[in-house]
Amino acid sequence: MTEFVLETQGLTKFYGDKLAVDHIDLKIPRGCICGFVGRNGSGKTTAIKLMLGFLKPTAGSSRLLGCDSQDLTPAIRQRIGYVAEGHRLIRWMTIAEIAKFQSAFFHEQPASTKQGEAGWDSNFFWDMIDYFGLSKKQKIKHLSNGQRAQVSLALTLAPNPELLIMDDPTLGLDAAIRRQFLEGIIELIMRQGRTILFSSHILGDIERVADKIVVIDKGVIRADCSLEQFRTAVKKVRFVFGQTSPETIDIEGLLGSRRSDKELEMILVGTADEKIAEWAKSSGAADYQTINMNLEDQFIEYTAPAGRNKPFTWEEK
Amino acid sequence: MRFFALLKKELRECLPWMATAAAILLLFGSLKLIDSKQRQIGYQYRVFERYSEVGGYELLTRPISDFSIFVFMSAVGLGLALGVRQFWADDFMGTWGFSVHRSTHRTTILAAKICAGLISIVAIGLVWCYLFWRANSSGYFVFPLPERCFIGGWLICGMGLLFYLGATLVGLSKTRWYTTKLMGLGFALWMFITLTQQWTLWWGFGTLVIGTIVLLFLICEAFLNREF
Repeated sequence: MTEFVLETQGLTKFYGDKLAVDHIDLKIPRGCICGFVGRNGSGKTTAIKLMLGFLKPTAGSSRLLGCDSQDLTPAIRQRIGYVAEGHRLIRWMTIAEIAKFQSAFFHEQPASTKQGEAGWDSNFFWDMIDYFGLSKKQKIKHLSNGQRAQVSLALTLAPNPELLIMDDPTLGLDAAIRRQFLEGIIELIMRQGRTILFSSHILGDIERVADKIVVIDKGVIRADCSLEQFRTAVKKVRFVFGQTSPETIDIEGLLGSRRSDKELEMILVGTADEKIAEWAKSSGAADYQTINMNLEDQFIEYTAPAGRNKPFTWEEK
Repeated sequence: MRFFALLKKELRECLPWMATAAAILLLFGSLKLIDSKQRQIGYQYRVFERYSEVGGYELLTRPISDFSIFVFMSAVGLGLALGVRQFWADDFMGTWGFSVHRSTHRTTILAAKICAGLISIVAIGLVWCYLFWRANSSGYFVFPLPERCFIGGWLICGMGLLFYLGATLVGLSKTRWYTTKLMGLGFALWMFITLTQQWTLWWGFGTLVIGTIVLLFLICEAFLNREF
C-alpha cells in the first residue's frame, strides 16, 4: 500500500471574500519529488502555508506525515524541512549563530549514525557552507540573495528532513547559484525515502529534478500527474488549410486555439495522435504538424488565461 | 534547551532597546541626582511624608516626582519598542515562517518572547534600584527617600510592562486599524489611567496584576490562533 506523506482533502482558503485556494485534493507518496507550479498569485504560497499549519483552512484539511497540519507536534515538525519564499532568515545572526540556533531544535547526530536518520548533522552543514564558499563569521544581513538561499538550504538539509517543502527556493537566483541549489536538493534526493515538494516559476528546475508535477491556477489544481505524463499530454498542433480554417473546432481535449489566415494552432491535452489525424482529415487540413514544446511552453499554454491568445494590439486613442 | 535557544535569541533582539532605555534613565537620573544635591530639595520629601493620607496620582508620583518622568518614559518607551520589535518586525521582514516552523510548541515560542520582554523591563527596574540606592547613600538628599518612593518606581516600571503587552497584542492582531487592532494599547492606556487613580500602592499593584493577566490571556489566545 502506498504511503502518502502529504495529503490534502478539499483544502480551501478564503481571504475575506477572495478565494485563494479552492478544494485542493493532493496526495504525495513517500520518495516523490513533486514540482508545484503556478503563475504569480495562483495560490502556491497559500497552499504551502496551509499544509504547514501557518494558515487555517476555511474548509478541508491536510495531513503531513500522518498528522493534521493544524496540530503538527514538535516531533513531526522536526521531520519536516521548510524553505520559505525569499529565504527570510534572522538578519542579525552570523552563519555560525544561526547554525547554533537551528541545531538547538534537533538532537546532535553522532558521526556513527547512519545516513538517513534524523538529527542535526553539523559536519554536513559546514561541508555545505564550505562548498558554497561562505564563512561562518558572515552576517546574514550582509549576504546576497543567493548566499542567503544557500545558507537556508544548508540549514534545512542538515537535520536530514524526511519531507522537504520549499516555496519558490530559486526565485531571484542566478543560473550558477540555482544549479548549486538544485545539486543540494539532488543530494537529499539521493537519500532514500526523502520526499520533496517545491514550488517554482522556473520550469527548467522542475524538469531537472521532479518526477511529479502539480499545476495550480487561480487556486485550483489543474494537473496532478507524473512529469512524463504532462510532457506527453500537452501538445501544440499546427494545421495548414488550403482555404480558410474552419469556424468551429470539435476535437477532444481542446484547450485553446489561435488562428491566422490559413493556419490554425491548437493546444490539446491528452488527445491521441489518431484523433488528431482524424480531425485533420475531416476538417480538410492540407497538412499538420505537432510542434515541440519545452515544459515552460507547455505550462504557459496550459495555464494561459482565456483571451490571452489574442495578439496584443496598441490602439491609439 | 529549545526554550533557552529561543530566549537567547529574543534577549539579543531586545538588547539594543533595553540598553538604550537603561542608558537614558541612568543619564537623566544621574543628572537629576546632581541637580537635587545642589538644590537640597530632599527636605521637601520629608515634609510630604507627613501627609501620608495623600493618595491617588500624587501618592504614586509625588515622592519620586523628580525621577518618575524618566522611569516612566524609559519603561513605557521600552515596552512599546519591544512590542514592535518582537511582534511586528517578523511581519515586516517576513521571518515568521522561520520563527514558527520550530520543533517546539507555539507556547514555548511565545513564552520565550514574553520572558525576554519581561527581563528587559526588569532591567529598567534595576537601574531604578541603582538610582534609589545612590540617592539614599551618597548624600544627595538631606533625608533618605522613603520606601514608598522605591515601590512607586517599580510600579511605574510595571506600566512599561502593560504598554509592552498592549503593543504586543496590537502586533498580533490581524484586524484593521480602525476596528479592534488598537484594542491592546487602548486597554493598556485604560489600565494605566486606572492605576494612577488608586489610593494605595497595593491597589496600584493589584490593578497592574489584573491588567497584566488580562493582556497575557488575550496575547496567548491571539498568538496560538494567529495565522502566519
